[in-house]
Amino acid sequence: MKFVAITNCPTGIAHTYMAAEALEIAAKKNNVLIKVETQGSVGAENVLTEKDIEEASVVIISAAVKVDMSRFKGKQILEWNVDKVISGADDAIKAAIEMSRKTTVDQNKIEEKTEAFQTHGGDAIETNKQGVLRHLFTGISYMLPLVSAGGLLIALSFLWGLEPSPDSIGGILNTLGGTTIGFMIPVFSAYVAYSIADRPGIAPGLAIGAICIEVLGIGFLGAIIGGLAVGYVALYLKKIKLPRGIQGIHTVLFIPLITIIVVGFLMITILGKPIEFIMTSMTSWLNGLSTGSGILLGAVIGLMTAFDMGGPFDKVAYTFSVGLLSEGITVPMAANMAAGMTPALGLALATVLFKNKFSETEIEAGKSAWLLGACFITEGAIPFAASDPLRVLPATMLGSAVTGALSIAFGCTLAAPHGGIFAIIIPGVVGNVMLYLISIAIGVVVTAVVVNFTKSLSFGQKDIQSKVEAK
Amino acid sequence: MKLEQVLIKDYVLLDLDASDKDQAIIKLISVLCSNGILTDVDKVYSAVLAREKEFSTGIGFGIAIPHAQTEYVLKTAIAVGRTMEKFVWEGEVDTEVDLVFLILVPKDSIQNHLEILAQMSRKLMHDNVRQSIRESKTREEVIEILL
Repeated sequence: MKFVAITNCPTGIAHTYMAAEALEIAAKKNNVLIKVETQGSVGAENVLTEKDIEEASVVIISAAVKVDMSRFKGKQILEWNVDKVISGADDAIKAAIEMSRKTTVDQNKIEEKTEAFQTHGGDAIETNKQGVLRHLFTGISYMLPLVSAGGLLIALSFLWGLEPSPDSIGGILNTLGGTTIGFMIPVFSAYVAYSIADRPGIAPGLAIGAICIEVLGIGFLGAIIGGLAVGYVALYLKKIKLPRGIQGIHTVLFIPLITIIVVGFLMITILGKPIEFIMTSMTSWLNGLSTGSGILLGAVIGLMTAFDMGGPFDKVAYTFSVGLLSEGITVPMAANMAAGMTPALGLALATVLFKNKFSETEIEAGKSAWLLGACFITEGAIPFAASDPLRVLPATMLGSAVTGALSIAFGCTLAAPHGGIFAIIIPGVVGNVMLYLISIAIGVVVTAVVVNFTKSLSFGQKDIQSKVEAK
Repeated sequence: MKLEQVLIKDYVLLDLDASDKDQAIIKLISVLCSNGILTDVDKVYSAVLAREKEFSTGIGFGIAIPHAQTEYVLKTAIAVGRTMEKFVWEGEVDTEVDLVFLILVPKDSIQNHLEILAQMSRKLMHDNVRQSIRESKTREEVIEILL
């Protein structure tokens, strides 16, 4: 009878080796063979080979730190606390002997467990959906600090005026904030990929996230696709076995290289042209609208701003408004900024009014969203939209459309292309301040009420989100 | 590999006067401290306690191996304390102890030293080793057994 075992402990200094020695002594005493892999501070020693594992009737896991179990698929596993092994290795060996004598019933169970994720039954698909959502949540939680810290830095910079010189404190704060927020999308896609493929997902996820904003300009909607694609490609590549001689480069070079090539090429070739086309046609359409009804123009600017928050639609609207601003036409800019403020503010309000519709992370995100929205940092709404775009985007779009239309209907004007509430409180920058604030407030309430409604729709996937949160 | 690099006779206390975990740890730390191996005694002490909380080091057989890996230790060292009578080592499960091995490792310990600790830990699992330590008359003997 032969067993294999793995021992480890938090510091890997003493327990790991004591447990290993204790198992070896006890095995000798009970006349069984054992090979123990120690995962201590000196690294893994006496590493188990595939042959060892195949020959072993039981795998003893004596670990205080997580062990990669994929090597032991289909084997009988005996988990035995590391300090119990040290003082009672004999019991552990006896239990292993007992286990290997038992019929194969347990074995089937173990196989079922490890196979569960790979079967294609109805349950597995359901698990998969929850999985995607879980990956998005992971991405959001790593992205959040960048959004709040970056947003706060930008907000602080406005205390030194709307156009601080680059060397002043305000200018430096603004640079810090802008750079910090610039990392949100790459970090988001990197950690979506990390959630799927573990560490090998991070590097290509960062790269693809940066490509989404720097090259394609598709913002967070693109990063959702990019992060998921990177994760699944990297996960697949992890399973490929390289020839012995070059195994060392598997995670350092092979996975990131191939993943970036595959996902990068796909995204640039498939999405590049259509996005360019959308941007040019939207621009000319907006130019056409500007001669017609102002209220419709305001609504369209609102819809575009709140749809992809930093993506191509938002950019077209913003470039359009800033272009007119330079010609001295200040009405569209007012609508644009107001519509850019409502998504984050509206969602922040929703997290206060309708707490039960949001996860804890989102309620936390809601707190900084007040400030981000007030500063016209539309990105404050992304943490909400990225996990649930189908329910969140209709609400933010509707709210922003209302605000944009009202702002133009009220004849509000804005002479600065940014600043949010800071632009509003500086005398003379905004025309019709009271009505401007009212138009924003109405959009904020609309966003919150609509999101409360859309969050109660199930789209056929009943409460997956709450299930995931409960886990 | 030389155990003398980490365990010298100064570090061995054949009749450690301690009746609880705290006393034992403090006395063994001060042995290493007076040899100039520690840069901040308080920090080392709290690191050892933190480790204890995480994972009790009373491993049975009358042995406890409190340990810590921290930047306030300059070089890997083991202090050994033997008490005349067994005392209670508090942990998730209380154990009776008369041999205490305090192991302190710097943040960037060299591979060699870690291997020495691994070797020593393995030795402690053997009955005859523990018995001989209990019967040792001199500090040199203890070191010889653990070598």
